[in-house]
Amino acid sequence: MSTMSVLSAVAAIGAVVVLLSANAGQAERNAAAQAQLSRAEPIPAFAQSVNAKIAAYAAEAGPNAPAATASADGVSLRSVGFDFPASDRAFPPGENVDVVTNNCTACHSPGMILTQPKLTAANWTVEVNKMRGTYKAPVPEEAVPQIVAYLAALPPAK
Amino acid sequence: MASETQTLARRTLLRGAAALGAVSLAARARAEGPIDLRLNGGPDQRALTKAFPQKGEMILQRTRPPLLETPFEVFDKGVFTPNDQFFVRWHWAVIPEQIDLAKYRMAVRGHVNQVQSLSMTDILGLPRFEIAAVNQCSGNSRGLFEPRIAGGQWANGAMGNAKWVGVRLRDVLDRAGVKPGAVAVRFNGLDEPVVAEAPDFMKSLAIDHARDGEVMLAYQMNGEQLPLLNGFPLRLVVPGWYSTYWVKMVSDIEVLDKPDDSYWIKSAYLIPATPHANVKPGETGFPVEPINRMVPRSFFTNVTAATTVKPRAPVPLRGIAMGGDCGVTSVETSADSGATWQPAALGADEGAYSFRRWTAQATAPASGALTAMVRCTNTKGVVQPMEANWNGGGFMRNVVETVQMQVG
Repeated sequence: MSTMSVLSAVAAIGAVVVLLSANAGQAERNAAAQAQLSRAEPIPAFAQSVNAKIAAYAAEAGPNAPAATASADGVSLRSVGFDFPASDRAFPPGENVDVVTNNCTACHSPGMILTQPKLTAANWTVEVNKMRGTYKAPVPEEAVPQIVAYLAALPPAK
Repeated sequence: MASETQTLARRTLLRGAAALGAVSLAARARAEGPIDLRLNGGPDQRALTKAFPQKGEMILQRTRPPLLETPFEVFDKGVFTPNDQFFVRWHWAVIPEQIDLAKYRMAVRGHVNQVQSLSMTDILGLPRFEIAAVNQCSGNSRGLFEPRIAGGQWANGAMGNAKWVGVRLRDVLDRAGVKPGAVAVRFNGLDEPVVAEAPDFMKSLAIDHARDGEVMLAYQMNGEQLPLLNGFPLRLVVPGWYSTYWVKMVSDIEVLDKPDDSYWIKSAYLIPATPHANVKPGETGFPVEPINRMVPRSFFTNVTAATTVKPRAPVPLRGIAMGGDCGVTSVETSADSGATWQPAALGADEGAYSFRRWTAQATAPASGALTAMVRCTNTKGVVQPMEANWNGGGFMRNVVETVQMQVG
């Protein structure tokens, strides 16, 4: 649970406790409040619905969402902020796999390469040179034959 | 441009570089599956993932930058594609992970009378316009080409249909005042290449097309704000044209007084200027042009090659169709390899650029296989071809779809 939802749950319990203890002395009130908070109290229903709303808002707008909104004429937009996931695909082992990993994953994850159909060394050379020439990938010229050799030797992944 | 979003975009860049060998705390992209896309020669296994923000289960083609395909059974659920399973395609990996509406601005500049810097509140206050339109990747179905072609290896799910709500591009341009002599309008989004020298993704439309009253900037799809991965807070919608023009997270609109010679118009997304954009593998010397209008397509959504049918039983068939750059006139099915065709019933007309539901029925033979085909004819009289096209980019596939179901 986020800190905000815990605090609002605690505040909700605390608010209930204060109301119940209104007519007792201060010491008794403190003791009663402490006893309440120390027990494993179930979160009151209205605090649960607040937590659910906070969680739903976070899911819709994201954990890093700024507060700003924009609205006019019945359309309302919320700022958003998320974390994109990272790839967990790795290139299969083979000669020059380190050259491929170091040169070919700054701009895109391995899936781009590993989903390609079986291509010839000539096809792969065209692709690698497109990365270097058109897309400005900083791949040194001497790495090109090493990269092409690895890619052309890839069996089609399943 | 919002400098804070650019700062956060750099965070993505650093994460991308650090991902080499480093452990990342971010959620992992591969969750489940695999699903078999049945691409000839493979690789046809893909993971299914729920790890992307605001997205349910998607077919994972590539994590960074994201290429997420819609699982095809989603298209059987209705004619509009749910936002949380709408396909995703980005060219470059530096994509803002956070958009602050207090800082977001869209510029309108170039060959105009008055440069504009519009906030989303400004844009929300402009006259509202709504249109239903299919968004389809130029390379949708590329994985099905024979012979195979390098590129994004989609099956048929790089497409989706939505009701888009926003403003006419014409109204935005008129606020700035387009000067005489304008020839094109170019659109740039907040995404950037990892390598600074690489060509930033931007696309342009001819000025008359941009002002046609249907090209629009959308801030809602299917009743909700755009998912971040589909271009929040604002994307271009070009009804009837391929998705490459539908620039996401639009932050800059430049009116040009000279033809656009930037890379993504001049040298990328080019098709043979031949019927069906079709050439022979290895062919050279044909004229090319930028990809543009879509062409009719139709699909089965309730049966696949894995479906078995009972001998001599009636088999309900249903699916979706689109006219491409205009509406659907007819959908027909055939159970005899195209010798004869029967008209399918069409569902509600949601607009010329929308998917259209169709239903039909066939009868399974006593044994063997039921081979069903479906074809769409659009309101311009263009019908899907019986032979698949081929071009070096893997673009504009629209061959008649065939499903072979085993009798058992």
